[in-house]
Amino acid sequence: MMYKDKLIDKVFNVINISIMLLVIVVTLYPVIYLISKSLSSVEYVKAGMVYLWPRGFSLSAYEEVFSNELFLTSYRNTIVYTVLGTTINLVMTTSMAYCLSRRNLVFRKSITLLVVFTMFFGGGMIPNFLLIKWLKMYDTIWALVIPGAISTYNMIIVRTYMQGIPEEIVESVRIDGANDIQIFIKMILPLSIPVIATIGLFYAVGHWNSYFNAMLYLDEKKTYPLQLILKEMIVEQDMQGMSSNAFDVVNEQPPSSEMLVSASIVMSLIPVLIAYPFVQRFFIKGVMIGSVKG
Amino acid sequence: MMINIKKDKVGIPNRKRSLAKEIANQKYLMILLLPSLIYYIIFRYVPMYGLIIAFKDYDFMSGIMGSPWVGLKYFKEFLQGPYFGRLIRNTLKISITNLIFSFPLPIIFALLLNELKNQRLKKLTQTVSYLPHFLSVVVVVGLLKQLLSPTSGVVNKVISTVTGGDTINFFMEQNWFLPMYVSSGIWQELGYSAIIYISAIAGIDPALYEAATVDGAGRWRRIWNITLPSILPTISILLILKLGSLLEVGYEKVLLMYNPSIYKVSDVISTYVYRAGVQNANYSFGTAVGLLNSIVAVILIVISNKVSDKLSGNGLW
Amino acid sequence: MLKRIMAVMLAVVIVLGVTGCKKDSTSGKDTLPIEMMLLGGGNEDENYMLKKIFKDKFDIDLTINQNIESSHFEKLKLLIASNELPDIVSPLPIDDAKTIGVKGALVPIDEYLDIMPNLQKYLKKDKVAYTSMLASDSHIYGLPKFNERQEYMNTPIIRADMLKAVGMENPTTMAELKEVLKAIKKKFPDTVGIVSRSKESAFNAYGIMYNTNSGMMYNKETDKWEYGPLNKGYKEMITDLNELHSEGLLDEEFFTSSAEQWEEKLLNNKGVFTLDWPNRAQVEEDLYKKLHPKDKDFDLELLMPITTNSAPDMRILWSEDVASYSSFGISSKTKDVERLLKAIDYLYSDEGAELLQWGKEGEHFVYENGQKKYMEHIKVSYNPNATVNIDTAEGINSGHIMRVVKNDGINIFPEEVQKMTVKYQESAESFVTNHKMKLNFTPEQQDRIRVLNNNIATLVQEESVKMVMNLTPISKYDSFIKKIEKDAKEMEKIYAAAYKDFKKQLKEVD
Repeated sequence: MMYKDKLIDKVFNVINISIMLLVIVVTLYPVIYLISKSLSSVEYVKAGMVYLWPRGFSLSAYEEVFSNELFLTSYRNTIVYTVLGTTINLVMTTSMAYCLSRRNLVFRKSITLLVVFTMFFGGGMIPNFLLIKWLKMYDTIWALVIPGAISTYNMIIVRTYMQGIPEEIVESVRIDGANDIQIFIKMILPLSIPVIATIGLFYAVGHWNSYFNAMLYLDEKKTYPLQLILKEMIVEQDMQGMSSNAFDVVNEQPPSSEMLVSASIVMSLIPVLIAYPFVQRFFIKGVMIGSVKG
Repeated sequence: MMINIKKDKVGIPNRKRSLAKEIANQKYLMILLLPSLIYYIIFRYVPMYGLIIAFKDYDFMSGIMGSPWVGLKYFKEFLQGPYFGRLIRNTLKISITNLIFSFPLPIIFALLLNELKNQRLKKLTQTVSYLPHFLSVVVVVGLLKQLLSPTSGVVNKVISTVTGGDTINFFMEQNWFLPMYVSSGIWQELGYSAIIYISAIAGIDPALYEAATVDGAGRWRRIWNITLPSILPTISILLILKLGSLLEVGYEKVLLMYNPSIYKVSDVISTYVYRAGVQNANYSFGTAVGLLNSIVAVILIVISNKVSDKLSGNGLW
Repeated sequence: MLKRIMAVMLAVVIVLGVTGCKKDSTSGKDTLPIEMMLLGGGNEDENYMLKKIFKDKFDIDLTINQNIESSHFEKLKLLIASNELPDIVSPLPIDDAKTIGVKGALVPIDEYLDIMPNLQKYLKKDKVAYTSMLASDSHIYGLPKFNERQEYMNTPIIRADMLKAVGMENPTTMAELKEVLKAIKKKFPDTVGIVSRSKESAFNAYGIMYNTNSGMMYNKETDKWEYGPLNKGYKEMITDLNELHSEGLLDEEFFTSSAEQWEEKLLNNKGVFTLDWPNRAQVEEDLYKKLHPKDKDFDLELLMPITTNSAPDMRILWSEDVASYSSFGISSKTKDVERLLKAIDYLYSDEGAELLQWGKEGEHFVYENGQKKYMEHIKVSYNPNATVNIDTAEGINSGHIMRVVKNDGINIFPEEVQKMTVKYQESAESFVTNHKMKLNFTPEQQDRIRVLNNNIATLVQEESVKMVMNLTPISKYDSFIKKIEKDAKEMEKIYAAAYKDFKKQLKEVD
C-alpha cells in the first residue's frame, strides 16, 4: 500500500529546510561581506569597520579595475579561452570515455591503466615547458587549451557513468546496424547529458580561474586572462601601498588591495552565478529512456 | 536492476578470433579513441623523461640528459632528513581527517537537497553553496584570520565574554590547526563537491521512486535502496581516487595558515619541499620527493581498487 | 540544435583565438631584436622610455614582458632551468646571476668594460660592493643599479599622543621603551602594544637593534660572519620580546598579522609601536583623519633608533647604494652582445639616467630653484591632482629599469621623514640592508650550507617564536642553542673560509 507522510517526515522536512537555510547564511555572509568591502571607502576598509553593509559607499575599487585598459581585454580573453578550452575538453574527454566504457574494447584494461597512471606520474614543469617550446606553442592560445585537454579524473567520471548505461539498449540499436560512432553521437551522448554538463562545468570553471599556465607560457599582456590581470592589479596596489616611496596622494587615497581583491571576486563571480542555473537545467531527472527489468 | 558491471558477459572478445580481426571489427572505436591516445602520448608520456631528474644532479646548462647521475642521493636526503617522520605524520593526519569528515558531507548534502520539495529553495541553496569554491585560498585564509583574531575577531569576542577575558590565539595553538584547516576546507568545498553527486542523483529514473512509494517504502528505505545504490559507483570511484592522493596535501593553504610556532603539526611534505626547493631551485630534490609520493599513491590506489572491486564490483579498471 | 550552436561557437572562438595571436614587428634590416623580462606592473607601448631610447638611439627593437613579483621569479626559475633565458632579465639578483653566470648562462660583463665607459665610472666607487659583484671565477655577471638617493627602511614609529598623555619622554633605549609601553597600557588598557606585519622576519628587523639576525650575518664589531642566534644579542632580543609579551605589551598576533590586520590595529587605537617604512606614519594619520575628522589627537611619530645592551649605538636600516638585487642579467645566447651592452651603457650616462629617472624636460619635469620637479600631471606626493602613473605608463622612475638613481630633485617624502632623515644621518650608524658584502662559495660548500640550513633554520624559527610567545619556557633557551650549535658552527667555518677569499680579492681591487 502507498506510503503516506507521517509526522516524522514533516519534522524532517522542517529540519532539512533549516539546515539549508543555515548553509545559505554561512556561505552567503562572507561573500556579501567581501562585496560590501569592494563598495566601501578605503578608510573604513582599512580600519576594519565594514561588517555587513558598505560604509562610505564608493565605487573607487571598480573604477580602478575598469580604468585598467587591460581589464576588459583580459575579460574577453578569458571568455575565449574558456569556450575554446571547454569545447576541446568535452570532445576529447567524452570520446575517450565512451571508448573505454565499451567492455569489448581491445586492450581496454591496459589502456585504462596507462591513462590512470598519468594521474600520479608526471614529468614536471621543465619537460612540459620544453615540449611547449618545441611544438612552437609558446605564447599562443594553444599552450592554454591543449596540454590540459583531458583531465583523467573527469574522464573516469564520464566513463563510469557511460558504463552504467544499460547494455541492452545499446545492443538493440547495434542490431539495427548502427556503428560505434553513430551509437556514440546519437545515443550515448544524449543519455549522458547530466554528466557532460557536470564535467563541462568543472572544465569551464578550471579555465575561468586559471592563471598559472598563462603566466608561464604567455608573453604579451594583451593576451593575458582575467585572473592574471586581477592578480597583477592587486599586487601592484600592495607594492605601491607598502613601498618606501608610497606617495599616496594626500586627498584621494587609492582603493586598497583588499578592496581590489573584493572587486575582482565580484567580477569573477558574476559569470559563475549566471552559468550555474543554466547548467542545472541539464541535470534532468530520469534521462534513461525506458527502464530495464530484471 | 542495476547491471553488475564486472560480471556481465556481453561482448568479451572471443580469444579464438585473431587480434587484427578484432581491431578491424572495432575500427570505429579505434578512430574515436585515436585523438585522445595521441594526446596522452605526447603530453603525458613524452614529458615523463623528466622524472629522471630525481636521480640526477640537475644542471640546467647540461640539460636533463647531460646532468650527472647521483642515484638515490636525494631520496636518501629526504627519507633520512630530520623532519621526515613529522612531515609524513602531519600529511597523513590532515588527509585522513579530511577523508573522514570532508568526504561524506557532500554526499549527505546532496541527499538532503534531493529531499527538498521546494524547488526554488533547492536551486538557491545549490547556487549559493558552491560560491566559496571560487574564492582564492588567500581570501579564505584572510577571512578565517579576521574571524578568529584574538584582538578583533567575532569568535574571540564571544569566547572572552563567556570566559571572562581569556581569548584563544587560534593560529598559534597546535591543537587548533587541524580543526581550522579541515572546517574551512569543508566550508569552501561542500557545495562544489556535491555537484557531482547531485548530477548523479538527477540521473535516477523517478519511476523507481514512484514504484517504491506505491509499495510502501518510506523516505529512508527509498534512500537506502534506490538513491545510494545508484550513486555507489560514483562514490566508489571518487573514494578510490581520494585515497590515492593521501599524500598530497597542497602547500598553498598550509603556507598561508602556518607559522613557526605550529610547524610541528602543520609542516607537511609539500611545504617542506617548497621551502627547501625555493631556496635553491632544487628541482632534483623536489622531483625525488614527488616521485616517492607518486609511488605511494599508486600502491594505495591499487589496494583500494582491489578492495572496492571485491566489495561492490566497482573499480577504476 | 544544440549541436549547431556548439559548432558555431567553436568556429567563432577559433577565429577569435587565432586572430588574437598576431604579432606586429617594426624591424628594419639592421634592427637588433631584443627580448627583456621585467618585474613591473605596467602595460608598455612605443612611448615606453626604454623602448624609445633603444629604438631611436641604437636601432634596437625591444620587446618587454612585464610580470608582478611572484610571477617574475617563478617564470625566471623555469626559464633558467630550461635554459631559455631572454636577452635581458631585470631584476636578476646578484647571487642568482653569479650562480648561473659561472655555469655559462650569462655574459661576463667585465670582458666588455672597455666599451662601457659610463658603467666604469660607478663600478669601483665602493670597493666592498665591487668585490661582491665578482663571481667565484672572478667575472662580473650582473649589471647593478647605483642608488644615490637614500631611503630609510625600518624606523621606530610610536603613538606620540599616547606618549604625551602619560607624560613621558621619547624612549631611546629598550628599557625606556618598556617603561613607556607599560605606562601606556595602564592608561589605555585596550591597546596591544607592539604590532608587526613581518611575521617571523621581525626577528631580522628587530635584530638590527641587537646586532643580531636569525641567520648568517656579518658582524662589524668582530669582523666575522656569525650565525645570529649564537650571539648574545639574539638571547637579549628573545628575552626582551618574551618579557614584553608576558606583560601584554606585544601583540598576540605579532607573528601572524597580515599587512591588512597590522594597518587595522594602527587605525583602531590598538597598536602603539611598530617598526616600518617611515612614511607609513603620515599615511596612517591621513587615513585616520578621514575616518574621525573631529579627533585631532591621533599622532604617529618617528623616533630615533632604539638602543640595547648588545648594541648601545644607534643603528638604522637603510637601502643599498649599490642595489645588487636590481641587477640586469644578459643571456649568453644574445646576438650581438657588444651592440646591446653599448646601449645599456648609455643608461649609466648622465643623459640616459636622467631620461629614465625624470623623463624629458618640459614634458615630464621642470626645474624649480635648481632642483628637478615632476610636472603637475604626474602622480607624486606634491601633485595632489595628478592622474598619471609615470612608471607604469611611460617606464620612467621605474625601479628595475633605472641603472643610476640620482638625488637631484625635490624630495618626495613627507616633511617629518625629511627632518628625521637629517637627524639619522647625523647620529645613527647606518646599517645596510641585504648587506653589501656577498661571499662566493664552491658548489660543495653551497650544497653543505643547504643541508645545514635545512637542519637548523626551521628549528630556530620555531623555538624563537615559541619562546617569545611563552609557548615554550624561556629557560629552555640554552638547550635550544645546544641543539643547533654543531651545525651552526660548521656553517660559520664555511663562511669564514669564504670571507678569507673575499678579503684577498678586496685587497686586489685598485
